[in-house]
Amino acid sequence: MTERPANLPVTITINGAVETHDVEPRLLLVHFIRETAGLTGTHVGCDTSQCGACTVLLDGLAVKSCTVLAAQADGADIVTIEGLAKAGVLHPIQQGFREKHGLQCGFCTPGMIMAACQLLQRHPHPTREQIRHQLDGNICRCTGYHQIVDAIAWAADVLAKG
Amino acid sequence: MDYPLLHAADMPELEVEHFVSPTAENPLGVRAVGESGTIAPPAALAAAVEDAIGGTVRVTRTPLTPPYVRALLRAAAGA
Amino acid sequence: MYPASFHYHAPTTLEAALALLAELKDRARPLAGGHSLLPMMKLRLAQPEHVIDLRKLPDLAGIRATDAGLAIGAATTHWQVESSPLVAATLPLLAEVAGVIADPQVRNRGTIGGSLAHADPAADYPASLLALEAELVCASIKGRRVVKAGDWFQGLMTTALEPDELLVEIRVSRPPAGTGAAYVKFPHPATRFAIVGVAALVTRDGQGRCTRARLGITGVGPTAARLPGVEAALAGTALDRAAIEAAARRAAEGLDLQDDRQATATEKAALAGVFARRALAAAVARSGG
Repeated sequence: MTERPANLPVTITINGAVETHDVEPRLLLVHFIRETAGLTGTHVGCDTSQCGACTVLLDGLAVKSCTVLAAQADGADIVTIEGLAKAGVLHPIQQGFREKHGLQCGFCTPGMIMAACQLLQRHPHPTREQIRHQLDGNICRCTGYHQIVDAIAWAADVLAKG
Repeated sequence: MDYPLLHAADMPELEVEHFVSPTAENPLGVRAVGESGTIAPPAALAAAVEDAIGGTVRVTRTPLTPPYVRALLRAAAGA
Repeated sequence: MYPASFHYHAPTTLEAALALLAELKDRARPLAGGHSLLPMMKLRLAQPEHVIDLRKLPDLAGIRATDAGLAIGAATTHWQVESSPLVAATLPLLAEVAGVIADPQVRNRGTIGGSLAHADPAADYPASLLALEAELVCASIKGRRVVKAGDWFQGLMTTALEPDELLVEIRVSRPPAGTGAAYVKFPHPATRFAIVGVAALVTRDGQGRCTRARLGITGVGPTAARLPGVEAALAGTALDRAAIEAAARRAAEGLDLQDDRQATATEKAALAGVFARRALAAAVARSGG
């Protein structure tokens, strides 16, 4: 290539805070979140779009932020794990992971929780089997998933009671 | 990229029971287990496959990939 | 890893996008959901100089009813197809296919047009679009043309799409009354792509006899393909178990099956037969007549 590609201005709202930066076109959304915006709760796990540790909500939809360019998210509203607790009060899904010991090393956990946000928004009363299927995009190497399912089922009950 | 990591839907529901045998060697009675439980399964799986295909062919390695298991089945059919 | 450097464009009109493609041709890659292209770029298997982001093009996504059936914008996501009441009412087979692609996060971004333009030999849509005899609408600065699904898949990850063209719409016709349809997939445990996937549509008349059969297969060859032997064997039969089994035995006819790491050609032929049988059984159970 003869000349270096131009950087482009990108504006992305993350957890309600507007982030405007000039970025290389090839900057991945996960790196924008982690390095440009400094929010390291979202993790890079696999590099092959399989593990889901990078899952965030983009305009309400759970996406793998490692497989989205920051440029593709220009103008979008992102929610990361850091955006769930309000005024120090854990979101019910986070509380469920605490109550039911839904993590060991914690590396997959932010992605699991963000995937669970979408799961419960689409299926407010999921069966355990539905929960397992909706976690198809998230891999955990520690827990064997049983207590992750417990955590999400617990949160579903809490959210259903309002 | 070919190695199948288990996803949530691949795991069955589990019931965990504890079989307790405290040691006298420390005040809490606790024992180190680490990951010693992972040692036996490959051999157990290999033995199970040998048994399932009639006991006439030896399984000599893991992983028990589909092509390897199909080769074992062909060998058993020929034996 | 992250991609090699590239120039980024986000045109706001189809005309602008097509003008860029006419100028840059294969120095540019269009970007829709990015879930086939970006993984390749991150592994540096693809290093396009220019990326043309389609996100700002109006009217490229969406599903509308037509007289014949459905018109699906190329940028429509798998989740949109999976969850669409219109698709559920008109062509539930497509919702069934869309729902088994990858995982929920990927389905929120991946698009039907991206999948078809990429033409992975183990992708899920091609088998059903072949069986549905879909039409693919391509646009360039020269105008539009329609390519039949049967002419679309030309070789390994090679399609009829020209370097200056964009796939803009997929048209599918409602099958005749009395048709049952099913897509049965054997996913690779790691990649979730189809080791084999068969889409079947069977139409029965008032006496329960087969008046029409269309089957498509993915995963076993360099491209998705029809199953002409199976289709011919089913014509006029009672679609009972014996007829289905006899037809399934002809699954490998016309298929380009090679040995590879996954399976030998013989094993692939066997898989084709097994999954043709399963898809047919499911489709027949859903058929009327």
